[in-house]
Amino acid sequence: MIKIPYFSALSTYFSFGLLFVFGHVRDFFRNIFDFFHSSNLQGYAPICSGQEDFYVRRYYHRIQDCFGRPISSAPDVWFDIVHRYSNDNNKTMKRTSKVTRCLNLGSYNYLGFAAADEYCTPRVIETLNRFSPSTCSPRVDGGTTTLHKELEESVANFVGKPAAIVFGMGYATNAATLPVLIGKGGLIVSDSLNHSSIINGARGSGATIRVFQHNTPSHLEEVLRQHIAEGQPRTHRPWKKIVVLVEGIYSMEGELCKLPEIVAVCKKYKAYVYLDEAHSIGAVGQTGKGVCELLGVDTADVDVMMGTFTKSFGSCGGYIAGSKELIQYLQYTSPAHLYATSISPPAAQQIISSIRVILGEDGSGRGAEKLARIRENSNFFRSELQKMGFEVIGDYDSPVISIMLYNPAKIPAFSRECLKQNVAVVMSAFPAVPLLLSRARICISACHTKEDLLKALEVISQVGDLIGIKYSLAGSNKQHQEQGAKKLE
Amino acid sequence: MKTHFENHIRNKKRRKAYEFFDDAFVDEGGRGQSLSVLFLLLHAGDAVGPFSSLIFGHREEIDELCDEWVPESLIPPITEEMPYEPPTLESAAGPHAIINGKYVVNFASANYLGLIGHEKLLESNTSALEKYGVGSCGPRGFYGTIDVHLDCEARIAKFLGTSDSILYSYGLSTMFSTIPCFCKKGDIIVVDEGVHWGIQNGLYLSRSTIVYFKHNDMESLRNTLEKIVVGNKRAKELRRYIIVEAVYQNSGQIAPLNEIIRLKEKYIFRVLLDESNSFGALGRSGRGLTAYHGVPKVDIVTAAMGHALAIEGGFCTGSSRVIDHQRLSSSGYVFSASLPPYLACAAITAIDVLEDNPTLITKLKENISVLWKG
Repeated sequence: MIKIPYFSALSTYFSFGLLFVFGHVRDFFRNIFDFFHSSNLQGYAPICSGQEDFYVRRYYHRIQDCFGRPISSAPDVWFDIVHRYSNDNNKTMKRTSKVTRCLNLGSYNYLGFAAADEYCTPRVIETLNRFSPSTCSPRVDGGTTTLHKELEESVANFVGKPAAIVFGMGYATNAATLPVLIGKGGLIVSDSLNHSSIINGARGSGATIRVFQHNTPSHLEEVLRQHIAEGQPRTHRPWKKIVVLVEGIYSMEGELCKLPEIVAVCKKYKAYVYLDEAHSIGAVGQTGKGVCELLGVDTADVDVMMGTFTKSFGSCGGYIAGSKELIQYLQYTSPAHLYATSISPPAAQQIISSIRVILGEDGSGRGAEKLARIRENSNFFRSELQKMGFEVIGDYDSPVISIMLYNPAKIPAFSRECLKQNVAVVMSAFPAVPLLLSRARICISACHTKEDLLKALEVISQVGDLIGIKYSLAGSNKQHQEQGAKKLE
Repeated sequence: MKTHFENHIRNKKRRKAYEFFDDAFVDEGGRGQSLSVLFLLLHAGDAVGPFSSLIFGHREEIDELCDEWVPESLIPPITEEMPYEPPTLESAAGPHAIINGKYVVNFASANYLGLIGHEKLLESNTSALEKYGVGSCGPRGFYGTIDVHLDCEARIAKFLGTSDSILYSYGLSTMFSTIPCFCKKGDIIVVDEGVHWGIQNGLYLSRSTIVYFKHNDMESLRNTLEKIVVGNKRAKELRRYIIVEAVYQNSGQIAPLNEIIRLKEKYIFRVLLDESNSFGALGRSGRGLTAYHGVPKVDIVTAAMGHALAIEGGFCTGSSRVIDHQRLSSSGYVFSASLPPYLACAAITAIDVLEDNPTLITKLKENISVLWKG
């Protein structure tokens, strides 16, 4: 639970209030202006009525330049950001041909497989020439190649489950699998900060959805007890089944799931566990096998393991791993298996190759080295930020680090100032996070060198001083810092 | 026993806190009220369902109910028909493929133009893989926008003569993200009953009012539209959409688009057209069903690129208002990693190839008529 300082909360509300008032003043004049212009809708209702996109027009457009910056190279540790300009107060952004080389703290390139790799890329190109970029067919018809079989075996083996099934997109994996697993008469208990794909999958299933407080096993227990006792709404029939949806690492917070406790609660109340390891698979654990390995949970206790290949493996697509029967059932029913084009063969090869590197099957020690590096890098970066007095959320060992900003004006300020000094960070603001809890997010890569991290820390510290976000400096940490400084002397 | 007591105390405290708020609202008014609103706002996160533990009875009772409850198994038992091994290809899924060492003619892939294994595509793929790597490692908003994505969007828009387009990273997700992006609760969607799963899922997620008409039956569509619009003043203020597929994935039938457009203009509906199976296959130059029927631009067109273009992903194209709206509201676009850059490069090349070689389409037509004749 994030505790926001009183003053920050007040000033944040004040800022949003101001934006709201100014927005409405501008809207007022716009409406008068529009009144004299004939509408070109010709009887159609507008795609978006005035109130629906108020936030976009009056708030997001002001800071649009901080999001969606195009790049013109691989999303490696250093990448080229394309300059943009705007002639209409940031409403539309135009691309120029000018680029700046920046340090990348934004991409999910946890293990550094984003750019061309000495082991993976030659194999990927070989596969491309043999299998072409697409099969033009769903898996059940003519979209299964020997490569897809190999990939599924290799994923199942890596994750530690008897079988696996792969899909061409991580988002669709959740969105298409959940409706198959549970339907009307079932209960989904979902963590309050789950990813949009899980939420859409849960909505698409038709099951009743209840939310438990983020990462709080005790509240999960309370919710489960209450709903098992109450049964289905109105009819009070017992639930058909209950599925608990959690993520391995929460992408906006960088927090690790309290998996051992949650699994214990689920076992006690006979609920099934669905674990989304989009950010954790490959990135954490001694051999990169995700949160189960890191937190010492037996994979047999997690009924459905889901993950994506976009992050650590530098490819695309997603998987579901589970018992042989579960996978057989999904092959029989999952719409993403039956109707969607199978995963692109070169992308499949990238996953197979990168898993080999992680497991050390390529004959070099690069995989183990990468895993050690990402852990070291993340923990170093997190502790340094904390020492500097930033309010950092998330857990140690997680490569996602969030720095709290709170005030809306600090979002563009932080982003632009960092970019000026060639550091690219991701800002997360409403609606991705609650209104008050705007933050900057940093994703550490195993390929960041010590110099890269030191440069980033220096820049972030400077910017932090400039815009005043070292919130924990006022408290006890100041003493810590003084002590540290004394020691250094 | 102890926890029971503690719970009781906690509930009492909570109740007190809320009584305090109530008093503040009722008695003081004015300044007090605004203060307490602020107080509530600041503490919105703290309050943990103040009455949740009051609703339900005794601990032992709940324990018993929890013990008694027996869930169904996660999946139904596997029956004999379920395990199915699809054919496993040992080569690319081109017109000729190898299965179990046997050379077969492939009629399963939607490789309409035979672009699988096309030299130019492979070339552009290879150079892109070397330059950009495989994945984009991020959603479009967070440094997952690579220059080739923007080029590809511009190329598609130019090819189809629209003002802008937007790329999705998976064909299936294009429809189920686009529909909820435009159709909200209360809006009216009239849809053909023969649409594929992607659209059905999108309809479900949109929570709009959904009315089906008979598959490819224009009389049924006209009746449905008339019933909705005529004599219904409220319907005129709502957003109204007709959703059809150009070539139905499930039946292979072509939608009579010119008739649909006529009806749409008469009753003022927007049309969402899924051109997945017609883009690159219909029309003299492969521009899809709109070109085939020679009708003016359709409001919103989506298509998967995993068919005629022989790559993956999908796109949506239309006016810039339509596209810009999706860039922030379409969940499959905002919350998913972007299309791998090598596929975006291949899409540009595939469209170039399609534009330069109109013979591809005539050849496809010839093949189709040969098969029809039997």
